[in-house]
Amino acid sequence: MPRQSNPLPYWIMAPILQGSGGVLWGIILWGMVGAAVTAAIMISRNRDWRSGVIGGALAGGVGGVMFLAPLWFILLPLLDKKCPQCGAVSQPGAAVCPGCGYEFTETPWAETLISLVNNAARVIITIEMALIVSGLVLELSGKDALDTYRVLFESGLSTERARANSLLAATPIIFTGLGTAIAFRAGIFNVGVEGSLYMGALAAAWVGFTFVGLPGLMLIMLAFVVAALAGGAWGLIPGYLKARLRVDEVVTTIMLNYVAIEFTSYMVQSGPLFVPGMANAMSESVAEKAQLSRLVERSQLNSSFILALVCVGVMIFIMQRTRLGYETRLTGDNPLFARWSGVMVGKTILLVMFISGVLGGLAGAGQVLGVHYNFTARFSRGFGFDGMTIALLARNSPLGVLVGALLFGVLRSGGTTIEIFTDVPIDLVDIVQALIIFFVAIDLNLDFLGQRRRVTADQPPVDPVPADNPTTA
Amino acid sequence: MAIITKGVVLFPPKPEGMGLHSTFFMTYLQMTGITKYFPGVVANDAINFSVEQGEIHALVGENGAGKSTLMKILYGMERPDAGQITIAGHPVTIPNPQAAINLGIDMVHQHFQLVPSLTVAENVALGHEPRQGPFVDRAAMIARVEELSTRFGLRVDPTTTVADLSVGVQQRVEILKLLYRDAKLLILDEPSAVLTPQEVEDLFDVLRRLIEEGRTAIFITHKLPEVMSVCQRATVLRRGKVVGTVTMAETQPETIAQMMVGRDVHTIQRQPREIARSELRLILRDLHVKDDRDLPAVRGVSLTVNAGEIVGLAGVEGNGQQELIEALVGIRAVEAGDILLNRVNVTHEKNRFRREEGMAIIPQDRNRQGLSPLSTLADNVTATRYYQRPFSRFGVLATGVMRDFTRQAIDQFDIRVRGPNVRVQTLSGGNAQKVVVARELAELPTMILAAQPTRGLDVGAIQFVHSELFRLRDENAGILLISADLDELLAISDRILVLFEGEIVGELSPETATRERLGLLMAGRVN
Repeated sequence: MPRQSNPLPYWIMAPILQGSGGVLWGIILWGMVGAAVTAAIMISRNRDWRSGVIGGALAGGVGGVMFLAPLWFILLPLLDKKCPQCGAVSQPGAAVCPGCGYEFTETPWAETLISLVNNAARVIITIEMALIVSGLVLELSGKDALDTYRVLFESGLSTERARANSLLAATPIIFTGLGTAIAFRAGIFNVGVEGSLYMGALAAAWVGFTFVGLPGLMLIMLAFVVAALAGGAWGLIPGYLKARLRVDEVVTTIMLNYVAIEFTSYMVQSGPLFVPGMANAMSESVAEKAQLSRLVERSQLNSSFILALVCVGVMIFIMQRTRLGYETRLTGDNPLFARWSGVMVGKTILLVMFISGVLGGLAGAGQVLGVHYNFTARFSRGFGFDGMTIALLARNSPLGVLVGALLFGVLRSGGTTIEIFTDVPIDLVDIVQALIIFFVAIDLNLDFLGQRRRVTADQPPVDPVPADNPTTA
Repeated sequence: MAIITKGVVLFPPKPEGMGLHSTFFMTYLQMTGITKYFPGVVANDAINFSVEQGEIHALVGENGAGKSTLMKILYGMERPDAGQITIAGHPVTIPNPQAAINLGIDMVHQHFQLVPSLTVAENVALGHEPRQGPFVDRAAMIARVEELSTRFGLRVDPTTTVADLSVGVQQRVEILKLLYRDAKLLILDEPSAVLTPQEVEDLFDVLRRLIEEGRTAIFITHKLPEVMSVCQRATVLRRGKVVGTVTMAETQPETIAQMMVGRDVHTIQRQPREIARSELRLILRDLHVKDDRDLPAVRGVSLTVNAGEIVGLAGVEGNGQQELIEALVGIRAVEAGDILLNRVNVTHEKNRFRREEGMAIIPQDRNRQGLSPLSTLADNVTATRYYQRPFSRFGVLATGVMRDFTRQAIDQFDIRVRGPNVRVQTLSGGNAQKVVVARELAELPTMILAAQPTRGLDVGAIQFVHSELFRLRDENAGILLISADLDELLAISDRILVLFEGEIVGELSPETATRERLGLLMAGRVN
């Protein structure tokens, strides 16, 4: 185990794993964060900020041992608010003070802070719950859970090379996560990014060893563009079927995944791209000038990671600031309303499926040009599936996809190491992943609690009929 | 009055209750002080409602009067915020429909709860199949259904598949299902809405046989002739309150109509004004539209709407209104005929084109067609114009402009909300309708389609919607008001057309139109 000196304090992610020192820092860090966040929200609710500092520090500090501090944050929106005029305390959703009729005004920064903290907390808690339950599984099978996790995080984070490998593992998942997220946001349950990934990968490899006469940068760009188009076109098939013929996309995308996987395998196993004498089912290697540059020594981390980051930015922009993003949101929230308002729902579905496929294609191209340098049949170890998990976890937010993918990268690359250094198989990571989906499905947020209280707050005061007097006329 | 011919006592009252029920008639159901709040709306306000055993009791009132809520409470689908229910003298709580069924209360819903792929007998017995060891005793099941069907005159073959049956026969299956479960109190939610006149008569015969057996029925409707012909008593609800309970033998239909409507609807008085006959906003020429089942739903509708005119389109729901609106909006294909909007033929144009020609739409189903509850207020208010300047340029949204526009709409239309980024699902019904109105009417449309624009709203919100429609009318917009609410039509229309089975069967002016005359036309009796 290469336990080198540790430049990154990975206790930020898991204080308890780094012994007493980590726990101490965890208490201090999360106590401070808790105090600051709670005080800010208390101020926005016109309550006493000092009690917020004390309460937040306590709650954050206690939680910081286990990194359960976010559990506290998720409850913050439920803090009651106090009327600045008459001092009456009312429920957080109240629009008007019940005591004096003062109309509460929105404090945008507090709303933003709450939603930010809430989203982060939800993701962290979901992952933590998954790790805790997997830990129980480990303990039940006679392994030391804490030690396993320590190795997992150390080998995913502790050295520069470990971190590079985590980013490498995250790269394709960022693309597929983004691709799945935009489709999910439009209400399309697209499971077919994996298929687009294969089509894109094959296209990139083909360009990479065919147009060898082109200068390096042009060749790489051409390969990416062709891969994106191939992936996008693949996404258009179920898109067209859904938009025009109302065919259920779940079925078509799952089936088209198999078609893509088998088609690409055929192409390199016995089809036109078969290379005689090659032992495995792989294509010719791409030209050397088509290979992406490496970013870190002794790691395969390559410049496709940078492209992935650019895509995150582009997708944030598309979702937040463009007409297409608006149409995507509206179609996802209520397609019938979108139609009644004049949004061209079919066109939106087609465009979204195309972009979804493009991102899948880019994922495949990145793997081919940056890691394998050829197309190998069935090379993807469920990148499309990982992307789906992350999109669910991130609730389709591009930034959330980035965070989730980085975390999955750590788990994936760390998982490879634990198989080498402990007797825990890498399947642990799959268990964790499955549990994450499980806890996402349970929907670990307390929004519903807030909503319930809000509804009550909006209701007029009830003048109940005495139950023991049923003859009231 | 309710007369129990055979004196069947299904739930003998407790001895101590005998004093209260010493008369021949027995109060079977008593609902006392039932109150139910929904955000911003009092659906039921201290309602007292009682039904004698062996009577058919009508529950009448307009849409949004609180009939359905009251019956949902009785059937265990909603919990009351206050109040008490007693059945044959025993206080009961009904937390869910299963509990209601166990108490002998059962309901025929407006939308049938049948499994189309199963046979009649299987549907009727579903969940209570006669068994022989571990197996369903099919012969016994069919025999039992057949026995019930002859006993009550509900003619239906137990072995046919439900999907092959007409709507009227499906309803018989629903009633059989209730009888199979031995319901003592049957709630029928607008049972006649989907039936032909002959089927309605058959239904009434069945109901009469039921009460002869000592069963009791609550009949939800807003059709007065039916109430008069089959019910013994009627309770009238209006705006969540009981207006009164009347005995049919001593009442005229006009009395009930007046009780249903009250007087506050007429607070807004139509001001007759000159209508520019030359400026035609909307022309429909022999329009034919098919419904989802590919059957003709709109059959040759021709009409015009002038500038500055409110044209009311009356009709019982399901006579082609929905298909007509969808064709006008541009999301349902027109089979034949023309739609001219401001003299531009838009028959085959998309929704967006029509909106750009000045059409505004207040859809009937607010939460599905008119709003996106999960989206923010800003997204909802800008949904019809987000793609135009200044809201977006070259595909990029100007979020600041959208926010400012939303803030302005909040002020102008007095939407009670904390800000543009609030999700619309948190708003009350009236407030949510203001969002629809703000989006559709903010920029002076020339032609407004308003479908049930005040359904389920309280008085204040209704007045708001009506005054907005008047404002736009005075700005020379043409308005087509599609409503099932006769009083609304009479109160604000300049002309009233009646739609029956996809055809316009009459045109009246509000001066000559009466409820009775409209009612006859809506029932398809042209003369």
